[in-house]
Amino acid sequence: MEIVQAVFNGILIGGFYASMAMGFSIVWGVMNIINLAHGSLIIIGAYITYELVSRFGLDPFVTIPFAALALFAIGYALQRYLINRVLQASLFATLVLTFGLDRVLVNANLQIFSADVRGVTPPYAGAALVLGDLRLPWIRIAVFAVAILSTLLLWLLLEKTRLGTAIKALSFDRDAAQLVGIDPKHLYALTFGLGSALAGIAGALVATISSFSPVIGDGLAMRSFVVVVLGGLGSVPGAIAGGTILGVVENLMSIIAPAYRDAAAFGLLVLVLAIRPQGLFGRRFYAEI
Amino acid sequence: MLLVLAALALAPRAVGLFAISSLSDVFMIATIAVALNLIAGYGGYPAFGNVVFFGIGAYSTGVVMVRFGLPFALGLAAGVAVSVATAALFGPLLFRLRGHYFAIGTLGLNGAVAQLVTNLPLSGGGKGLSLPLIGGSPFAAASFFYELYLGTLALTVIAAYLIVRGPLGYACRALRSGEDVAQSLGVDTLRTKIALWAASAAFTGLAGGIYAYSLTYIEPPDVFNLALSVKAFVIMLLGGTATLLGPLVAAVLVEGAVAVTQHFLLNYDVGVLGLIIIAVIVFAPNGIRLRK
Repeated sequence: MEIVQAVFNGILIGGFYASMAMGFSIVWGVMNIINLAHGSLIIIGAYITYELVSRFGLDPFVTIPFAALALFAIGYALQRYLINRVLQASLFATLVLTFGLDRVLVNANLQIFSADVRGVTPPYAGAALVLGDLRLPWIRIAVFAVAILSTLLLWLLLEKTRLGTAIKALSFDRDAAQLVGIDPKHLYALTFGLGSALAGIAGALVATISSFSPVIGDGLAMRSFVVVVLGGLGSVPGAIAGGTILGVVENLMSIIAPAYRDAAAFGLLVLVLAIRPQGLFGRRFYAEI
Repeated sequence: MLLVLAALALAPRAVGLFAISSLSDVFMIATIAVALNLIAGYGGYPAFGNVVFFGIGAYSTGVVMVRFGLPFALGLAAGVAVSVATAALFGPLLFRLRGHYFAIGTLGLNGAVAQLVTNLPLSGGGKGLSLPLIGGSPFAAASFFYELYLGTLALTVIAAYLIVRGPLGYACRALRSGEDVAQSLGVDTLRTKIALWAASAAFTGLAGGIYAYSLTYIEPPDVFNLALSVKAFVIMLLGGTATLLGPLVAAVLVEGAVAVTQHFLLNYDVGVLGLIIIAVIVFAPNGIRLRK
């Protein structure tokens, strides 16, 4: 029974992992940037929710659009005025740059919000759907729903709108996209903004279902990477599958070997990279392997 | 070159404790950067998690000295051996990957080893590990580690020179200009990459071992700290990838900048390091040009 409960907990957290990883995936897929600051952007979203809830008594779910919009603006500005400058440089450069950015954000978060562990607890946090021995908190079901919904919205945006077509065109062939009138700098900034908006949503969700502090961002960025590798770069169903697998494996690990719970992500990563480097749903064409 | 080395070797007699320990830090990070340059600069494989060998070197030295009561030199040897063995063991797996995938694969290796060390009783777990004190006056101890770091750096640079001028160097130049071409020319690419990475691991592990004994206390978040390999990356990029002496100059610049800013902005040291990293990448993405 304990195992069944762990599997369901894993599936519910998997939805959150999927939305977090989709923001990471779109930046990676379109601009070939591994954004090591993704975790810190999520944490900023979490603090926006925390401040809005504790200062104005808002419901955490109402704060989601605020976190998304604020992070969209931050992400747009970061790409437009900083990361665009080094996009043409080597792969080392963007990797190291986002690490430097992450250090700055972690330090800023520590100074502004302190190192204290925070979290919000709405009055309905204890309510749960009980099915026999199985107990599924409603708040986690709601977080799962919001996460999956935001992931699907991004997918719709990429597949069904002119903006999405332009972003995909740019990621396939930068020069050809420019020839048909696409402004890469603006569009790259929009893409990073979208990825950051998803980080903002993920942050609002983190604040709602767990405790957080400025230093947990690294783990979230690492998990985003694992989910993207598991599912395949640029694949929305892949992100949902990858998120679910990671969530379930982590929750099972916390029963079997709690001390190695965090190593589960690394283990999965090594396994997938060794057996199927393009990911479960990935196509070789998209990746650089 | 030899004059500079001789002057530096005699320096402890002339300068104070603070200068010696600051220079020791420079030698240490320069060693790590030169070692990283082998696999990342010459090999073209961004081993982002190369700090794993620093941690392995530190912990192997610590475990050999504390648990088995053996001398420091054997500890260092064990650190080098375990680092090389780790590179040889995981090389065939990780070198199936390229670019970002390889970078994050090495990150994953660092995370996994750090977690293992945190949970094993042998390594003292999350509480860390205390090494025996070296004894003697603080100045004598600092001078000893200063000479050791300097010697290690010199050894690393000489070894790197011999490697890139030797047959392995030709193989890796072929590798960088195109892996498929290199293979068709008869270069055993996997063996070349593993050999480069093992050499990189050996010197990073050596630096880690010295660090452990000089600090006398190590814990996983400190020696498996990713910031260390990223700092080495920045130094390598600033000095110019695939150059031998560039990282040495860049190490002085970066360590100097970090030391000065940390002195004035104590609570912002992490962010300042981040800003230095950003500044280097934005303003000198291809490094300072020392040659040409």
